[in-house]
Amino acid sequence: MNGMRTMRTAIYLLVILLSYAAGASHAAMQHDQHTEDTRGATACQDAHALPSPHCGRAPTATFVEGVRDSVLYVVFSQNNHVYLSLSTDLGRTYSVPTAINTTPEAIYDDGENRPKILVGKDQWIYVSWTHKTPGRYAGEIRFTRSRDGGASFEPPRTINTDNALISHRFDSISQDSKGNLYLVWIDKRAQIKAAAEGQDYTGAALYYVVSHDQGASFSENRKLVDHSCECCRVALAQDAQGKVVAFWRHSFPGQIRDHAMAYVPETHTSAELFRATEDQWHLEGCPHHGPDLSIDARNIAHLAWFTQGSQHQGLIYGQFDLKTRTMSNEQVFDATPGASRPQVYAIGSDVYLVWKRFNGEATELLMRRSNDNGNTWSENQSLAKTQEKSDHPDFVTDKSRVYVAWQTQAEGYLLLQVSP
Amino acid sequence: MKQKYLWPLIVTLLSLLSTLSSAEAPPAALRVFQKSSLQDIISSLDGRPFMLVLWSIDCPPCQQELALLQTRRHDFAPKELILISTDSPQDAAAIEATLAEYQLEALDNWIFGDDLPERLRFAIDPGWYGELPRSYFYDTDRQRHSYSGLLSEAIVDKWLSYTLSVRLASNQQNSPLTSRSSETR
Repeated sequence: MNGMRTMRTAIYLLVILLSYAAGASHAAMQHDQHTEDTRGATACQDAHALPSPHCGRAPTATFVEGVRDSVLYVVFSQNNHVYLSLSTDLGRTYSVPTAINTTPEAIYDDGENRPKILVGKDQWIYVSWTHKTPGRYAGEIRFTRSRDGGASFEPPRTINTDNALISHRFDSISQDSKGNLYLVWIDKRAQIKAAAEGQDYTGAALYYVVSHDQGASFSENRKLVDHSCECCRVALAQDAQGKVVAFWRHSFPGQIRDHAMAYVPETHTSAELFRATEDQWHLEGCPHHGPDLSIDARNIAHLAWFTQGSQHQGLIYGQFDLKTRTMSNEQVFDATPGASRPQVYAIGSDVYLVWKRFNGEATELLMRRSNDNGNTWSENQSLAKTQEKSDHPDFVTDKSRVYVAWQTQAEGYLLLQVSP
Repeated sequence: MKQKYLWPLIVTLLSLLSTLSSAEAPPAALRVFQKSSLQDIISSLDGRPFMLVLWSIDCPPCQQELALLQTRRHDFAPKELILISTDSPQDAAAIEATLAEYQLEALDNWIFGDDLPERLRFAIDPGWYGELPRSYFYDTDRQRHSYSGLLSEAIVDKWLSYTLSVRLASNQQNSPLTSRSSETR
């Protein structure tokens, strides 16, 4: 038995050493024990089961390129920890998870407000999440990094510096082509200040920080814009020049909850907000439904969003030209009741849309693909279906393939290849 | 001539009584909202108009709406204002605390019970995408109107004056005085 285990470990180590880059291999040494495939609701109720991307909340993944293969890095929230777990076989098995925050803390871990993971140009692993603090909607933006491929993480740091138990939530993380690191989040300090002065203030503000030294230190907290929506996630992406663009649901005058865009400034210059979508959705409320974007080499931002405006209703796709700041090819691609959570990904001339649709009984994961920059589209393709609860879908890409990750309560965390 | 003034007085007294009784009712427990619950609510109301408000502890405008409903809570007849939290049963303590803060704990309060919130949303209205707050107004003909976002005072007051007129009409119909006067006619 012992001999077999040693041999199995040796084989694992061999495989890992062959397939990992220098950075990733270090982590893999720590992660050489793999868990059994523990999917589904029953497996998740086992009190002795290890935390896993199948059972934890709001898993978010990225690939880290190895020498031969890509390793899937998944962060998820469980038992007041953000965990990291690795898979070298495209999600069939996962390593024993490591707790990123060693001290447990309450974590926002719903679909819109989830832990984030970013692999930097330097192959360092950057992780952010929102720690739930006492009080209604209150939270702190947390950040940590690993310089050894995820084997160890620095103690988490709080990024918002106003020391107030108020709302700082819905963190997003991105990097520009120079390697500067950006954290953007929804912040209510401006709203609270306005209320104290007896002023009306709609929505919340977007705040951000920049790090020019790989996350060793950050700039002061800067306000990006006033009057964002209060509980829709913020999408970030790099444009063709490598600058970071934010896309979010805004509260335009008259409580119009359409979307805005802005470049996130590298230096301390004020951001210029521009309107990206014109749906005229008048709503003094919370859609809890943030947008997505992916920018191609021509600087066309491919956008996907949800609205119930007077101009459009349903899930919308559009192409926003970042040079001319005009929208084209706008189309409602699913207006069925129950269609939600659209994600978009553009690579070369290919564009993918994925979303889910509930039909009253089951939830279906749908995908459509364009190979001409989003001008014409394939028929909708059904990728998966579940009878129980499911998370938001998301794109995950390695150097040659596009996948959709989707956690369902009944089937676990699925990684489905969608590129040919 | 005197009788003309008597009726409004009786109605006022009656509504004052119902107000007092609703204010003194003990806090009702949160009831678990299932797929069939809306039908149960509709049948239990027996043709009376009612307002259904869906809210969540994770929705800032919902708090403003609860604050508005707090100021109008005595103007609703018992059971004619129903609150449904779309949070999960594990948030029950936070929901109860919020309801108590706005003095709405004596109302007919529900909490989403299904593991799949989409299923409950769909059972209420397939055309509702989950945005909050969300309100439904059921009239006596069981026609309903929906509203997404924070309700204004004007909308709530217009609804209250409608429900009051329904109550007055129904009181008048059921009253022995009315039937006697119709007999004498």
